[in-house]
Amino acid sequence: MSLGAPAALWGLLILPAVLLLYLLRARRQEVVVSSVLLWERAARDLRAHRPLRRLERSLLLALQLLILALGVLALARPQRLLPGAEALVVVVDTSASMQATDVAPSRFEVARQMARREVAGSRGPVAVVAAGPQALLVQGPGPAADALRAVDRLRATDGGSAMDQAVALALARLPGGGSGRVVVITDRAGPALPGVSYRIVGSSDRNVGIAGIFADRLPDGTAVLVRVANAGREAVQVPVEVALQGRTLLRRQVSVPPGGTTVVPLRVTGSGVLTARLAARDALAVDDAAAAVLPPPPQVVVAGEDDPTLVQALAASGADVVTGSEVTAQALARADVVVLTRPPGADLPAGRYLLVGTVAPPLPVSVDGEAVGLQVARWSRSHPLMRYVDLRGVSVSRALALRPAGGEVLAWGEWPLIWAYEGGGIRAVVVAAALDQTDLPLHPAFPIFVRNALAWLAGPSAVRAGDPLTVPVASDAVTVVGPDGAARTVRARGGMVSLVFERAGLYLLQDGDRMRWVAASAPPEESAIAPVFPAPVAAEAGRSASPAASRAVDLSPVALAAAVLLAVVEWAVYLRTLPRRAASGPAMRLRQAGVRR
Amino acid sequence: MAVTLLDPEFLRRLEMLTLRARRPVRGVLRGERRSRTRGRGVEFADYRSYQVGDDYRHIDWNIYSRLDRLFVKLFSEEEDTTVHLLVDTSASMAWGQPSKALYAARVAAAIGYVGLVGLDRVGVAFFADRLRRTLPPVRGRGQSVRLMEFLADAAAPPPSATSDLRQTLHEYVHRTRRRGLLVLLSDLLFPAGYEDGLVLARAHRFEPFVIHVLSDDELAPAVRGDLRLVDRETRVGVEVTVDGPALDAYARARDRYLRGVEEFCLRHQIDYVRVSTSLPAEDLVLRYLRLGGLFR
Repeated sequence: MSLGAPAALWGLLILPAVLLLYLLRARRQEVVVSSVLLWERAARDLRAHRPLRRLERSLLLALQLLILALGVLALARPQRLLPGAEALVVVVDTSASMQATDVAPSRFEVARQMARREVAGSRGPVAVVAAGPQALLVQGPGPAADALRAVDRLRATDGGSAMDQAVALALARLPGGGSGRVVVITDRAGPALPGVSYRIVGSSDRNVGIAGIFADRLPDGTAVLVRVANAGREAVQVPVEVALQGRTLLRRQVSVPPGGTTVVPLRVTGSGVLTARLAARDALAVDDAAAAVLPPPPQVVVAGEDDPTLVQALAASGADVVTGSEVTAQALARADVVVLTRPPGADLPAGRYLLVGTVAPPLPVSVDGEAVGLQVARWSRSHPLMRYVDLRGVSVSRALALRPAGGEVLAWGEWPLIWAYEGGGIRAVVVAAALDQTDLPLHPAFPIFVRNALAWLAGPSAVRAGDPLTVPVASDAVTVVGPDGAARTVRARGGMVSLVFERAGLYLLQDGDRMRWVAASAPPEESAIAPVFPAPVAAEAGRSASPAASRAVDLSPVALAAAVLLAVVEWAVYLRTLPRRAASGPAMRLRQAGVRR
Repeated sequence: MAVTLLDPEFLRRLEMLTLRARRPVRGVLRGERRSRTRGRGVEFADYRSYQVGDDYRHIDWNIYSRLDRLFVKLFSEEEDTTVHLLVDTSASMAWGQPSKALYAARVAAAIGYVGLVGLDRVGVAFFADRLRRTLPPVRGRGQSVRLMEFLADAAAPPPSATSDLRQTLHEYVHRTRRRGLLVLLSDLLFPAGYEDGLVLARAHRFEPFVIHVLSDDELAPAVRGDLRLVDRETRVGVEVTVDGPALDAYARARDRYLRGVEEFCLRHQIDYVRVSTSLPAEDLVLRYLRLGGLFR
């Protein structure tokens, strides 16, 4: 048995509420009567029959709970597959490659038509799953009409395809532990799985796209690499145009080998939005343009003791560093990153901070004295802050003994050495040791770490379309202006906002009086539009796993009828507990026992 | 005050009745009370209307010649029976619509009036935990106003003490010299029971006649639900869920209790009449008390 609307099962939470009401009902109202003489005798009689009475009251309660449970079950639309029909889950690929127009009008529209046909031909419950950047159950198992409406609601995205998760989700939605079939409509078949069959759309592999723009800030400018990929089997010549803030920097013909990539290097001075555009006549347009944000050098204010090593490392990372007497309130307010080498004396406002040898509230970390002779034993290799950072041989003579209550410890020995935190509008990195208490500045890892820290604190300026992005913000909500010019407000929770940019292009984030650009681009793997057909064995697997035709029967009317029947029974039992009509005729009004000798 | 308890028409009909003693009391009773022909009474006491069966010799022809109506002369020495009216005025009696206490007062007034008209001595006592107020036995129609005024106080606010019939009758039988008919008007809802008191009265050669007054909601309770029932008199509480089974149990307890009262009275030769306050007092007096043997 399967459920068409399993969310309705949340209604079962009513049952404890009913039980609670039943218990509360036991509060007794005080009523004065002329005498309790007869009631005391009746109570003794009742106590003698208590088990039966309890059973009767429990029966009422049990019936009421059962009626409610059946009502909730009816709302959850239970279904049972009988021989003669089969369940169907349609998975539709909504990734960027499905926008290819090698089949008219587009792969996605063809896929949608195929999905409609699959749904229309099904005689059992149908579910619909979208395989976009995230797998999403668009419609649970239900009538074909609902599934058709769900198919019509589908839209192609500029993101990637979480096809594996989508297929897993579809298999999980099959009723009866997998008795049914999954039809995946995509341009790229996955591994053969029992019960899964693929419908492939697309006919061409001809596509040239921008696989990415990489920018590396240098002291004298920014080195930019524009990567052009050719998914076709023939070499192509494609004109490439690169512009910064609308000013063309480069325009040239690029040769891209079949199945290969060509990198276009250029050196850029200044900051702003860098766009790269291909004038390609291919099937997929979404990857013919890409953008990158070249932010201006970050304003870094070092508050506390000046440490030449730290300042040099910051400057080498391309930051404008303000130190010593230049540290003013205006500079602090303007700063992108504040470096603290001593306690600030007040709670940190929302912002980005690098704390060296100190901590400050409201960071969720306490100091438990000093750690002497700290040796770094382990450090993270996956966190972006620690990329290429090798802390082998780093020794620390004295450090703060940190006790973090959140965040992430990135390097630690007996005590944490590097700790990162984001929340409450703050993104911060804490190095437990002052730089004069460790030989870290003497290691090559130090400038790399500082560069990584600046990049992480600044936050990403480029994301893949469809991927979630979480950033700390200072205000309660941020305004996001999309590539189409439409603005929407996203409310912050705990000083953070989570954003998903479904379309490739430039997004403007307005956080109070601060603005920043984020470029979203189609994932480079989406440029490889060559259709991938399932292996013959996979097709066999799909067919053999498909069970005999079966027919789905909606059981909600049955559950409803059972609930009504039980309600009648409950009513009858309730009536039985009501007082019978007291004998109150003349015989009771006056009974004579006048006895005369 | 007499008008409040008993209306004139009812009083007129009461004059047709006489009390019927169950047995002679210390050789005072001379014969059938309504027909006084065999009595030896010589002292004129009162008149009353002629009834079929009365001795013609006692008809006052002088009055007949003046009024054209027949009256018979009554002689006091033939009627020397004492009627003791014991009215329960405990807190449980201040219950019902009308209250049981008021109902009992009306019935007592009617019985007392019949007694006074019939030249019986009539005494009244209110009681709860013990004797509260007493009206010493009086005689003669002229005392009827005093009797009514006394009984009108029966519905006064009840005492808070717990009612006790044994203590009451213990006091009463030792305070009263004259034995006679003892009419007990009560709901018999005594926490300590009614048996000892009635046995005591019986042992002191009283003729108890029990008029058991109950209200409708005591016979068939109207309360429902999860309740804590509090005794108006003792303040004792009983927690009970009043539903069908509970009311069935109450009906069983009620029937057992009433059957017990009946059997007790039968065993001890005590006349017993049970009445609900919804029955008009006039019907009780004129019909059922005659059937019960109090009047004729």
